[in-house]
Amino acid sequence: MSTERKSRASTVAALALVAVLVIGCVVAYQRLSGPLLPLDYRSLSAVGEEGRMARDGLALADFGDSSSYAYVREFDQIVDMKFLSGKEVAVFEDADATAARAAVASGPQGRVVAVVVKLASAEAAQNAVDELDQIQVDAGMHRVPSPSPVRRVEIGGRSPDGRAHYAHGRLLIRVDLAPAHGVPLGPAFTETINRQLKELSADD
Amino acid sequence: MTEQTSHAKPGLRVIVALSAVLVLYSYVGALWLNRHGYSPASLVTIRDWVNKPSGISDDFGVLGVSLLLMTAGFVVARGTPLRRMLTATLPALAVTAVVTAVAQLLGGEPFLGLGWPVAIAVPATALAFATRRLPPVAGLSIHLAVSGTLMFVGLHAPALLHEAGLLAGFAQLFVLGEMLWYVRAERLKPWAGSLVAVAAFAILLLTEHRYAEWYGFWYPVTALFALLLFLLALPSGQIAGESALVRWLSSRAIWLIGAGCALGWTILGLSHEHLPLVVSGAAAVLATGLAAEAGHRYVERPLAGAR
Repeated sequence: MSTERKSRASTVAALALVAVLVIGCVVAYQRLSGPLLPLDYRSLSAVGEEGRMARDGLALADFGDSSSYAYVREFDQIVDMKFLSGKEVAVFEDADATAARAAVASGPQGRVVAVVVKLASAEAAQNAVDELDQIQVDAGMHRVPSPSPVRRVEIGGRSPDGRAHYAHGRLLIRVDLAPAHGVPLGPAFTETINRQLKELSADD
Repeated sequence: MTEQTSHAKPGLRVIVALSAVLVLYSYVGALWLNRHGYSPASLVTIRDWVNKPSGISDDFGVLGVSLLLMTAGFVVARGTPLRRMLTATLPALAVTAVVTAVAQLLGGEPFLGLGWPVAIAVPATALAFATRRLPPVAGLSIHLAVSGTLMFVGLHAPALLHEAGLLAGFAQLFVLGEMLWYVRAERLKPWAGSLVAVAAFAILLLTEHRYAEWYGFWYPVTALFALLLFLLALPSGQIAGESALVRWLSSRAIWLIGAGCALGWTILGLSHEHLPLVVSGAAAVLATGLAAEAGHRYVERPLAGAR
């Protein structure tokens, strides 16, 4: 009799504990979830067959020895890195830039700054590619023909630099290479772009 | 055998039942939806909150296949007679092949992408039988050497050998299953089993590193989850393994997967443009379940001599 009562009491206690935990979770979620941004703001929803992959949808290539920008999750953090001009930031913001990733790496080829930014739609990404490419040309860089739909511009002189923009779905990818001293920009930049294209191909 | 080994059966049932559900969810559910332009919010939510954070790709499909391959290795190492193994698998595979061919001839669209686990299990089983009389550590070493060599040789080889190299990566799951049985049966020291596991994961990691086809799917992570689930389910599946649902799913697992690929895909493909998707899905699930039940009851059991 007493064993049965004990067993019943322990069941009631276990149920009460579960109830308290559930209520605690609900209250904590209601109190703390308010300031949190929706998941969609910081990542690319795993839609379609590409969503079956385990890797991050906003994938950046391994460009070598990199400074730690793994914390970058949103476009605002890219703006804080202060390598984009005001005009470029405006183009991204007009296209509703949200989730983003960044990599800054130094290797034998030079210094690579690469970003992937999620925009409102595939069309917005294509338009933003055109606008960003035009901004580089207006700033004095010259277009370099590229076999893929990648928009590529370069500038020579004392501080050579190459920039490429392309779209992959609603993602905009920007790759910048400042070659190391003595490294010819063209081949090094082609290799850098191809490395990123293996991660995220360019839409036609 | 020891008391520990005799308790493996209900746990194995849980693993096989879980595998069947995961494979059907991934290939007959999620993959069919994606290939036909659907990405329902529930599927994307599960990916965003479970698959991506855990690193388990393919909507758990490869996890299910990995568990099945581990089970195959476990069962083969246990010394299950060849006739029993063939009776349990061959009828389901043969009927699936026939139904798939018929569905294609009639203009249907069965799923053809799940032959690869069979292409791993058959040679791995043959190798296990060939090395049966050797001490476990020697047999497992031969498995690792053969699959590792195949993985290296297949890297820059023509198509067929290249595919074999890729499959050799997944063959490590079979090796892990064998190793677990030998350790459980006390025929292999746990430290030796751990070394085999390290070697198997090294081959998995090398396959991922070298083969572009594996890029982004993180299959070694999936394999690790499969190993952990296997280790967890074997001793703790005693109660769940006796439930009617788990018994039903595990005894008809290969039939369910075969029917899902051959019939489920075909029914979904033929009906989704004329019926609401939910109705098409329900029809595909029902047909898959009924076909699996019929196959188990009217083909497999009579062949096995059961009433």
